[in-house]
Amino acid sequence: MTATFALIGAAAGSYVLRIAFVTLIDVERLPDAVREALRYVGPAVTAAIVVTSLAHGEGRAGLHLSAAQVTGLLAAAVTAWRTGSLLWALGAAMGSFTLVGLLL
Amino acid sequence: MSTLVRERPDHRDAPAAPAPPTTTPSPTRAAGARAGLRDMVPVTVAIIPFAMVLGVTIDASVVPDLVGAVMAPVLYAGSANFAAISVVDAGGTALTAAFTALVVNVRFTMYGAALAHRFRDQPRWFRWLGPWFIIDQTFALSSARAEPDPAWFRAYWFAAAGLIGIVFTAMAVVGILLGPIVPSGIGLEFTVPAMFVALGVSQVRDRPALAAAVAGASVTALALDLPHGLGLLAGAVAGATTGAVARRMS
Repeated sequence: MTATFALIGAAAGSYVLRIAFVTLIDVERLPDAVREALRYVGPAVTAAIVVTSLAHGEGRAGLHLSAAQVTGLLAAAVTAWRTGSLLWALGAAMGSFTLVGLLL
Repeated sequence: MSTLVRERPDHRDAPAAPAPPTTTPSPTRAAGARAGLRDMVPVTVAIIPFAMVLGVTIDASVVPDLVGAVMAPVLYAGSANFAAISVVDAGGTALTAAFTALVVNVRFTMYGAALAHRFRDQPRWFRWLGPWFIIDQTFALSSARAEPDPAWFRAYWFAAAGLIGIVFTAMAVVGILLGPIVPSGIGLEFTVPAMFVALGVSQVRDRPALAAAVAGASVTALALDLPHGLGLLAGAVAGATTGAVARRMS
């Protein structure tokens, strides 16, 4: 039942977050400082998710990057930057991650 | 992304006929749906491994497979899915798991704020239903589109959101089914950080955004040992604040 209640709570809460500034609150009423900070939530959270997904829920002890992971992440970043394609970036990341993993 | 060419019906040679039923898609809506599908196809292909890893994770966790499968379309947010499952699997309470998912999803408030003008002239039902499908991918694609027609945007939004939602759920179910036979250690889970790195690069459009990303990652790494996923929230707040400060300084 824990998972079911977690799902209901997460889905309902996420819906409120999604409609907050679309349907419930006029975004123009927020203080300027908050609106400025909101602009950068996207890159800040995305970078934070990269870190937590590498740690696999094991805290700082789980954050040890292998050479294959570092190569794969760099390949993803460079390919996304040069091509603007998520698909190419993912292919480059997985290709270099697998190759370096096999070589080392 | 391809440029939209609005199609217009030619009625010059049309015989007198009763008005078409209202269920017939208008050219504007059909064009919007086509554009939504076209834009979302590569993004959807990219999330297939991510969805399968989610399915394998559900299968290996204490979360019942059925609840995990329902979670994908209902929560409609892959990374929050992962976060909630990891908390439940580690013995956390439902409240903690839901809170952790909300921390991960708090960025949707910003996405909603940025897309508010696209919803302003829409029918009431769409202003309540449409935001359900706000995720990184729908936000990134639709904010790059300048088409102002409300009907076009509705069709675009539902087509793009529907495609990624259906494929994500289907692949998560495939992951759940294949979980017992997928060998561990093949590195499929690496698609998750790799995809977010690529998404992050697309979000870094100026120096303040780069500062936000660096600060967000650094503070999260330092705060990883905080309980209840608070490290991610700390990183998000620190990163967003750093971005705003950097913008003022520049």
